Amino acid sequence: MIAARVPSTLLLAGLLVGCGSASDTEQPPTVTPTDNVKTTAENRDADSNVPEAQPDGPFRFDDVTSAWNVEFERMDDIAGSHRLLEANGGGVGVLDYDRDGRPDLFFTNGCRLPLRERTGEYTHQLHRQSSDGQFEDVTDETGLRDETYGHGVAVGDVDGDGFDDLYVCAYGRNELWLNNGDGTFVQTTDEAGVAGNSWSSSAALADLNRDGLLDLYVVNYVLENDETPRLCQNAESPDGFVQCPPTLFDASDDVLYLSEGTGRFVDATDDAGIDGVDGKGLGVAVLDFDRNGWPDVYVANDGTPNFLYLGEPADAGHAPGRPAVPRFRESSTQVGGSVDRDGRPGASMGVAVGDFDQDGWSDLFLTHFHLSTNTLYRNLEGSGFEDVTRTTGLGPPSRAVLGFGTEFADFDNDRRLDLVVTNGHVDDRRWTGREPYQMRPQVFASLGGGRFEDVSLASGSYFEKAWVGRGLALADLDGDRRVDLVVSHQRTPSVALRNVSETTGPAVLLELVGTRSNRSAIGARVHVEGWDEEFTREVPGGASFQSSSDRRVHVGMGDAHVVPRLRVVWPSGRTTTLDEVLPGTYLLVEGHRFPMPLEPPSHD
Amino acid sequence: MAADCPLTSGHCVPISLLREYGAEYLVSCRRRRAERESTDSAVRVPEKDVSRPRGLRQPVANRAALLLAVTAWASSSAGEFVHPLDVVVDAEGTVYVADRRLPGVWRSTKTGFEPFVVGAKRFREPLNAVRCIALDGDGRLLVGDSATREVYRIGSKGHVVGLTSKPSEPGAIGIPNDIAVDSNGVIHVADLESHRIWRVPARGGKPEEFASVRGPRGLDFDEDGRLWVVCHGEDQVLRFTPDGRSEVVVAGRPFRFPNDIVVVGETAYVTDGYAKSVLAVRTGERPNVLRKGGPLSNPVGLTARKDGLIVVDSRARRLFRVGFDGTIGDAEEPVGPDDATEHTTE
Repeated sequence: MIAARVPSTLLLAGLLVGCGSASDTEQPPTVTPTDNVKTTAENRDADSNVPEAQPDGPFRFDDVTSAWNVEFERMDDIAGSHRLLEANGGGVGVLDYDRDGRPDLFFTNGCRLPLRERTGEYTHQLHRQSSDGQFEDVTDETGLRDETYGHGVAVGDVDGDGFDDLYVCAYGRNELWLNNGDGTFVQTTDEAGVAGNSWSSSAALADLNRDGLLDLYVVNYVLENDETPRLCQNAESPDGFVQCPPTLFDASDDVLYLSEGTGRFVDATDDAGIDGVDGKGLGVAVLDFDRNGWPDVYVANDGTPNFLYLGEPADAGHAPGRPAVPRFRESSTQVGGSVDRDGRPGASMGVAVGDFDQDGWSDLFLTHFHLSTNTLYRNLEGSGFEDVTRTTGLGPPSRAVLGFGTEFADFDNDRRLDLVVTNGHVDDRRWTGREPYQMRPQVFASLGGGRFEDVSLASGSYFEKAWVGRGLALADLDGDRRVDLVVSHQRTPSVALRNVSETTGPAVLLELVGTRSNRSAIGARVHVEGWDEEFTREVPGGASFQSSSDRRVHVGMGDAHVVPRLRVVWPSGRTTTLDEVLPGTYLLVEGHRFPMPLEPPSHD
Repeated sequence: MAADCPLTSGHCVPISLLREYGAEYLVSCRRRRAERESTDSAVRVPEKDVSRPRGLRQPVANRAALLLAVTAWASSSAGEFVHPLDVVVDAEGTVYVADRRLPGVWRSTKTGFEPFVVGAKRFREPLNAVRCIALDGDGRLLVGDSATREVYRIGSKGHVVGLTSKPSEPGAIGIPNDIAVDSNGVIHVADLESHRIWRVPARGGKPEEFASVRGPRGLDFDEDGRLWVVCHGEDQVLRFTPDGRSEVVVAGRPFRFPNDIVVVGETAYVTDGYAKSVLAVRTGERPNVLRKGGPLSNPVGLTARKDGLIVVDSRARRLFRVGFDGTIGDAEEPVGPDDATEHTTE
């Protein structure tokens, strides 16, 4: 039987249904039990049972949050109230909004709930990096001040003018902010028709119909009401309540918007075949996994099978002035990637994309719930996905944690993709004695041959502590061509982690600019050729959890002094081949034969 | 015949029509239509014959050409700026304002501002992302457009001509953020994408790299032919000799978000959007605030006249006159080189 798709609108949570857990019983909302909220210090004490740090490791990340003046802590006045709305937290977006060559940071914020009680005092924040590496909150100056209950953020050049724009996901209205290029943004949500009215977690910008314009895939989570939230009763909980599992909520369907190229988008969800049922989506990644030339959409769902929409050629007979509608076929059952090797769907949160095994094809890594393992799906050269978690060493370390943001990156420039995961529980259930709330983040070093080693405790003090991690984004913040990290947390400030690892070699950092392709070059693929192992790096839409990383392509060089060949396959299908590339930061424009060296910003 | 003209009422000229019919034909038919429908709708450039005001970037050498272009594109209805970014004044005192989200260029008339050149509404099509304007050596308008990686010249017969790109290769100048023209007519363009200043031959052609500057925002030439640059780099005001040698004029980063620079004699004036300020800069000195705060909200482009500066503010969506003594007034009324509008001081 095919279940009906649920309209993506906010619904009153008036129906009380049975709970999915034997011990949790849903009750009507009561007064928010804030009395039982523990302070950050208390939580840290409770979860401080971490092993001793390892003395040596391949990576070292310094917590430079204070040194770089990155000051953001998400406002969440329902923290500790066991409401599902509290679970997702916020995300991080990396963009160079002022085009000074230095990545800036955007943090999504929460606000008072219910939404009608918003005060205007809390807003998403844009932090600008200046020449001395210090960050400054420029939210007011940029005009980005607006208050929603925000979650994810997608970054991309929506209007193709060379400046990155922002799409902010929220409970309620989402927001589209166009960058004016003069240090200010303008909100065009209503003109664009992309507000939605759902609970949106993540979004991906990508050119889904290959017309050179960025389209928008919005991942919606479940139906919940901010006025009458659903809580579950549990007699063992100190305050008598626990967070209801998502199984008790109806799914909210995802939405696909196609750009008309004039500032407006059209909802093409149904026409494009986005017909997945019961998807409680949290993460998304867009990439041409099967290399048929058309972008595919992977959606990480919470507790239900993940979706893999394989893209097929867009309708060629579209009306003039209307965007061509791509066709998608939900294919996860046929090609894998929706459930683990035992046939069980995970409570999927974040998704990382990368060629971990250096076979030239981008693979998928999914973060999952506590006491279950994260999942690594190997891309079988476009024919499907295979769960290879057990052979990689990534399974056991993930059972004790609940993963959210995740990304592959080559942290020591040795040509191999390493992996980072941020962790933290969705509800404070420490009273159980077996479910920590704060959890250590993890970083895994690639050992080659598709295997990883957990080197977290040798990677810096941040990884020795427990946090309630959520969003995670990569960026070379200080211009040294080592990949740094920014992580958002619940109940504690976000952090910036500077990669000071002793690298095994130099790197190339490549900023790609599409001309026939979308200007952000989302969907571009870089083949690294000429070494014994040949691999790819891609520019995905979406990825991680509610976050948007630096789009520049990073290629670690190991012990080499030159990259023999970089072959860039643009989303348009055009190819640019660069031979004998020296270490450095480059701008490569589609259609140009040579890259242009960019001077990295000095930082100290 | 006017009846054959594909243009309907209004001021917008769709790029599709531009491509299909060509600018010259559209200019001609638009003029005939305008003449037939209302003699009052034709825009007239103020009939003033004056010498070039001090501080103007280039003189106008071909007024007839400008008249034709104006007649072809203009509407009689006054409009409101949407997101103005840059401003230039020609020798006859006509003010042109680049508007990122018109998108296009406004022109002053006796009754106010009206659209002069209107770009495509579709992303990545010509003039959809207008960022800057200047006048070339012959007084023709140059418009920088980041949507198409191009600098356009509004030609003598209303042609819109791209100066740097070839069909086979996308333009090198990704985000033209400001334009300055030297005494030989060579066009210099600040590019925020490549962090370069490019030099383009007066008649157009392949851009040649002139200098590498982090985040170049504004350009202007002084009377000695030196190019002043305000930028997001470690030192925010630089000066280049014609052979490319550079010197630091303002060390460090005293500006929060510099947008543009104009040079008048020995003094340069810089707009700082985040500081809501216009500042005066002299070599070796700290910048002095000329004007700060309301009504300035986000000053961006500016140009100089003999009696002061004209500053465009993208957030206030207005033009202001800022006197060299810091007085400020509204500049949206018609202006001319001998215009005697008095300044008001807040």
